[in-house]
Amino acid sequence: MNGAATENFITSGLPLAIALVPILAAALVPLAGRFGDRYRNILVLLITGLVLVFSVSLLRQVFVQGEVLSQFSVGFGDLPLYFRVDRLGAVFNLISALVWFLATVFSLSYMTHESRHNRYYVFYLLTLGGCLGVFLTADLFSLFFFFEIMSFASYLLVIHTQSEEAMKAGRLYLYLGVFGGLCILAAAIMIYWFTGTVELTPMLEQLLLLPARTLVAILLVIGFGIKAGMVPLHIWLPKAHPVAPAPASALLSGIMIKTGAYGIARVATVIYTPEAAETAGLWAYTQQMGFVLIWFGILTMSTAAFMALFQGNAKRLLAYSSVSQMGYILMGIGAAAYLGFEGPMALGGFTLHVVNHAFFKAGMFMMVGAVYFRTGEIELSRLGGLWRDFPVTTVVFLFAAMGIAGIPLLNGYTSKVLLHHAIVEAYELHDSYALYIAERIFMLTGAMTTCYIARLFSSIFLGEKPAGLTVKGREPWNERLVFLTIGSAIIFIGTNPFLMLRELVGPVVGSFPFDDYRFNYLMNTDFWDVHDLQGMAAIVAMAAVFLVAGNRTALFTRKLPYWLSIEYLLYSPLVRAVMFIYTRSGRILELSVDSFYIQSPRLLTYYCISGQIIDDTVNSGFYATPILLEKTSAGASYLEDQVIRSTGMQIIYIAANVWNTIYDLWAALIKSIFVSIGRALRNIFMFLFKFDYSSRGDERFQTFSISNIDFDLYIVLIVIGAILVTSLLYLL
Amino acid sequence: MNLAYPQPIIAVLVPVIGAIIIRFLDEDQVRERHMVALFSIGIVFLAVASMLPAVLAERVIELRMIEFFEGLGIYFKIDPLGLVFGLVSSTLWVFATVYSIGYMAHEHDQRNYFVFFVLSCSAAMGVAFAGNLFTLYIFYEYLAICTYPLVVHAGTAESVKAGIKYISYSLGGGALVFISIFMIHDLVGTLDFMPGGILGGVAGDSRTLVMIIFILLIAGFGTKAAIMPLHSWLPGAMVAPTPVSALLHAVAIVKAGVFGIARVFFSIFGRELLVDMNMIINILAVFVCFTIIVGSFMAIKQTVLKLRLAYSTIGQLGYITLGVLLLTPAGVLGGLVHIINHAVLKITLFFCAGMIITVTGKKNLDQLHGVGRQLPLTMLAFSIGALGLMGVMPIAGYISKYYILTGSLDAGLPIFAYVILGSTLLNAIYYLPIIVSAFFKEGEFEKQPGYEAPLTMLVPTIALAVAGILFGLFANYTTIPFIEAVLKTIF
Repeated sequence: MNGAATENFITSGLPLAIALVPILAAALVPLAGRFGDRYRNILVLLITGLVLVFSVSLLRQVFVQGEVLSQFSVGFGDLPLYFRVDRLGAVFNLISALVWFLATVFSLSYMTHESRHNRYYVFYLLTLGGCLGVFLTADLFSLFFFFEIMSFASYLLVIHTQSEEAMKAGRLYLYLGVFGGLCILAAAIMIYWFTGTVELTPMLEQLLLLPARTLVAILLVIGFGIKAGMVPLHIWLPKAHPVAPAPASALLSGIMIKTGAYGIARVATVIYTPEAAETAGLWAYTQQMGFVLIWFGILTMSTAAFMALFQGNAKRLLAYSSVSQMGYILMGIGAAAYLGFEGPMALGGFTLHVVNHAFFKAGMFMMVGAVYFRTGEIELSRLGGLWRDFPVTTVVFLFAAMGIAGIPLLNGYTSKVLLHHAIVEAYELHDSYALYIAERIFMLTGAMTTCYIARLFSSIFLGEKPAGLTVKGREPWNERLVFLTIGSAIIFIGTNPFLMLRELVGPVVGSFPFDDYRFNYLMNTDFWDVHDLQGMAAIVAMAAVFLVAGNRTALFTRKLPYWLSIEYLLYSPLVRAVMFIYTRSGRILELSVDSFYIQSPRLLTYYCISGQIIDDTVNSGFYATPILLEKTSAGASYLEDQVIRSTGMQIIYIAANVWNTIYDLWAALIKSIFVSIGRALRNIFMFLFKFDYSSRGDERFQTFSISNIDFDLYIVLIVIGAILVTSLLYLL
Repeated sequence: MNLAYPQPIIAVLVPVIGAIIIRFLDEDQVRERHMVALFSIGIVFLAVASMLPAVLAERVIELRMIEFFEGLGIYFKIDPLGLVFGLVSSTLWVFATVYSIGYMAHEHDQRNYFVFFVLSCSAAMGVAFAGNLFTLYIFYEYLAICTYPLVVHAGTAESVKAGIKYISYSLGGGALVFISIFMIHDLVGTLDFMPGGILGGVAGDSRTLVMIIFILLIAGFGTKAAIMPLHSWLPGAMVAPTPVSALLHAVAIVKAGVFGIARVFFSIFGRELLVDMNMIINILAVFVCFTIIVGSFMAIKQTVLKLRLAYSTIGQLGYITLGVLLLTPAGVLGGLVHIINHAVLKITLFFCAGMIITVTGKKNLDQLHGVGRQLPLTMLAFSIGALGLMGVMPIAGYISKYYILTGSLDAGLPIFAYVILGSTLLNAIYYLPIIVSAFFKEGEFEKQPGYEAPLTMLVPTIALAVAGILFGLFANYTTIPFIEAVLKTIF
């Protein structure tokens, strides 16, 4: 059974069409918008519908005939866009296309109260192309290409309202998106450099020889983890998802964060797995990675669920809930990698939970959006009692909420059972006490999830209608249709878990090279096992206790202090420190080198002046000597006059006088020479350094400007010209 | 010595003659002045372009003009590397002249501006076609001197101050080159550029001396290439009129520095010698990486548009130097192709900044919220340039980044790949807010059709932005072949 289907490749243009049709059609949107809103909406609806049809037929091809390949050369010859769709990718692709189509139908009425429709739909389609491209590509570079298209295009969806808050959230979204993309690119380049290929195939044998293999893995997990909202990289998500228009939030939370999970899944369960299943010894590396991922998943699900309890804004609560649900999905990936060869259960849970989460989270975002559209209110404290006004929404929301809480007979239960089995398998097979604790946290998170979702539902739809809450109309039929579709999907999956297992999960998991025994074990999972039902009942009971206790003490309406947030504790000091260190060091360098260059003329001037002072000192010494001599000789002559009177002495006296006179003359000459040289030097230096721009009283300091430079330059220029002309003549 | 190819002399002399004619025109003979300026720059462009087939056919074009004494004289020789620089400069000079006509229309003292604007072209051509280090040095200094009046053109105290800074740095750097000229001449007796380098033969005996020459030359040309810590003149010189900032501080002067470094690397030292001296190359690489990262961080801090562009130039020049000093074919290819790509994209950005100043009078970034509503075409061109320099796919910048990345991996130094990627993030952080706030933020600007800059400014900008996209889409047919011709002489 295993790997049987993977041998069959067929080539088809479908993946290419799915990824590129929306991207190319985005250019047509403004064109259609010129003729009228109606035509544009029809165009967008047609395109998303077309993509949905393509996706369905691609899924059929992949499930029936094996993997689908296609290739398209763009830009460089050596790195074409390369598509390869296996069953996992096809399932992701189909669910995305389906939810996208539903969101388009929902947009038709929702977007009427927003402006800038053309821009919205252009980037809506671009994002669709990018997002689907991620699921269909076969190598990391192509994946990165579509991933970036999605990141950039969805930025425009996030900031669509252009409010202050949206711009701020968008900025974080954009920067982290670019950062994540670059992490992926860096890792892809390392892998490409080392192995010569970036295809998404098992290559652990080669990667183990790469010295930076762990760094590469970390980069990939960070890059995809940012998009997946993995704690602690999730900070953008609770900010960005609530500010977007409701259909865009639904897609951001329902579909786009799945690209991150998909990427991590490819890394942990494909790239970092051994090529040959027999080399069991190598699984140790994958296992370590899985262990870390499990804990990140646990951390993500529990902290985000905890945060969700305290949110007062309905959309932000849903955003935290998305982070928390991504924790389940990440844990599934982690468990799949941890169990390695024996991980069908975890991978199955992962696949099913992705599908389920897409339905209920996208649905809930749209339903909250529908309420917001008609009431203008998003704060839970100011909503309530709306079940009368929105009957369809209330019922579907109830199903979606019970789905996310994991109530049996609804879809969330099925995938949570699989995930729970996976984590139980993980600690039983490896006898790990740490994972036993992880399993307990998993259960606790389930309780918190039930609690916050019950709180959300009851504060919007149940209870008293607050004063001042006006409802403008009901949800129109297109919205009801969307909600009913989602609701029926939720119920269908929930009531037919065995069908889903056989038709969807089984084939997907079967295309991975897993242990046959474990695979059959997955296929024979009993969803209605009494232990699981008991666990579920315990969770609901715990949640009820939480909810009652929380409501009694008004605990959930409190705001968590800002200084507890990871931004305050870690990111913002880190960013500030890095910024400070780099800009400061640059500035210090600038100032010091600048002052060296700028001050050098001035320093030279000072140097000259100090030279002058030395000169003067020496000179004065030089002149003081004869005076001293004169004094001495005068004293001597006085002595002579008084004491010694002889002709011999007279002669000596005259001779000394004559020598004195000669010496005086000589000294005067020296003095004049030194003074004039000094003055000349000083003038020259002053002339040269009249560049010195700070005013020092001398006007010449400031007049070196365009008004008097040109004459000098003409001389330079004419000389150069003359040289060239003469040489030319000389040559001729 | 033949004159079968007199183009180098034409390229150097025609602007000089043009400048003299402009000098003797009256201040109010606007039409004639523009005609002469455009005509002389156009002739230069044609002269340079006409050498293209001969150089690509690997024919040697050389003109030995004067020999002061053995090995020291004015000597022109055109090789592919010089032609790339000459062609890029002269092409962009044509655009910048057209743009200047629009930009300078309301400025004072236009005659002086055009005199030196045209004159600097001759200096740049001299740098491009220099056949030995002495000629390169002469024209390098000549370039510094005749751009000085352009920098201080505003005549304010601030510009005079910046001018002093500019000229001290330039002459200081030139002095270092000058010293090394005599050391090289003393060592090998010639200064002519050779494809394999001229110092290879003597390096064994006088290793220390060669090392000192290397440091002097890199410090000398590195001043113009704005390698940190010698970069501070570049942001200072942004007081110049915008076409000057655009042309001289994004294209001609800074690229003359980078070009000088490339020349020194491949025609004075030679690749084999440099591979031997890997220790000092690695030290230089550390400096360059520092330049890239710190320059980008400094750019984030700037609040004035032109200053942000200036610091971005510092970082981008670091890419070129980094690519060249990797000494692998892909790295050098990436570095040299970035001379072209960066020139085209950065000049677009500066042109846009100039148009914003002309039309709205706003210089600070926080005054530019919503400017895209009033100047959609300008900001579109700006976005193309900015995204291109970030490395977004179909615009030219990604090609150079890709090749430098490959080059660093070929050299076995993935750390440089991380530097490039990290600085890409920083590029995004300082470019994207400008685009975003121009288009999506509310500001004081309103939609006013027909309120863009005059056509003389708009047309060159749009043309260059389109060229940026074309160089990205069809790199294999436009830019890469030239650089491959250069690589043939190196490897």
